[in-house]
Amino acid sequence: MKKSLLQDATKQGMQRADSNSATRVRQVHSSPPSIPRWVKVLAIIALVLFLLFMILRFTVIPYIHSLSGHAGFGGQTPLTSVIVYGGHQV
Amino acid sequence: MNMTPRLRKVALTVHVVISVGWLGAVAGFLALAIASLVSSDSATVRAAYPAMELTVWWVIVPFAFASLLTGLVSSLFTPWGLFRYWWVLVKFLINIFAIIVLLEYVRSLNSMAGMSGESIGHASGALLFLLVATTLSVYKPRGMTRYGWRKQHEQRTATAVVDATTSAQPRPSEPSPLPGSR
Repeated sequence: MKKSLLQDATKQGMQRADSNSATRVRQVHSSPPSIPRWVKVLAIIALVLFLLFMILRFTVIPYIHSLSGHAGFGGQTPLTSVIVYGGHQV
Repeated sequence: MNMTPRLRKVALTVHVVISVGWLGAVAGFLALAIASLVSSDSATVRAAYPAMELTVWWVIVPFAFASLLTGLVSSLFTPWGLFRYWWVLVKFLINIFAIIVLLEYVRSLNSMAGMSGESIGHASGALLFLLVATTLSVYKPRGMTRYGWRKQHEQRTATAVVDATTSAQPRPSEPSPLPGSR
């Protein structure tokens, strides 16, 4: 009876020690660690941004350039192009 | 080869100052780019371009390279290493990518083609990447690379072997066993 009580108390004490982060021994991986989730999330975001940039570069940006090159936006030359290019249409 | 703690702090301080300075310069550049594009005041637009050019040449480009250099020093000469932890590696890749994009932009700036809405796009992208890098440095998220794990494993094994050999050797104070005592 006494022995089983002692065993229970020891077991509980060990469990408490395991759950306490301060006393927990640092986990040692026996196999190489996998790529963390945050790295995967960042990689996916970077890929999406890159694809978005490529789509914009080949579709929307040339369209905007062609508009501003032919005095788009209501026939007015943007102020920046007037100053940078000395008022010449480019 | 690792630096002494004092030297490490100096290198880290320089790296933080330069990296945050780079972030601030990009934010200032973005403000100028927006002002040059949306302002109807010709004097503002005229003043913004030289300011943007000066900021790029005298602050952003030097700070970008200095940030890379100080980051390399802070990582390679400390236990963090360059390829051991994911957050250090990701920061390094962000820095390299930002410098490549910056140099591309500087080339376009010389031909005056960069003086457009593209400046806003470049500055916004750079700001985003630098904010991610800053967040990574502050939070230092967990995660060791395969290389880092292997290195740690090798170090542990080497330490265990050294411990085993030192404990197996008889201490100088202990009497050595006599040849015929067995």
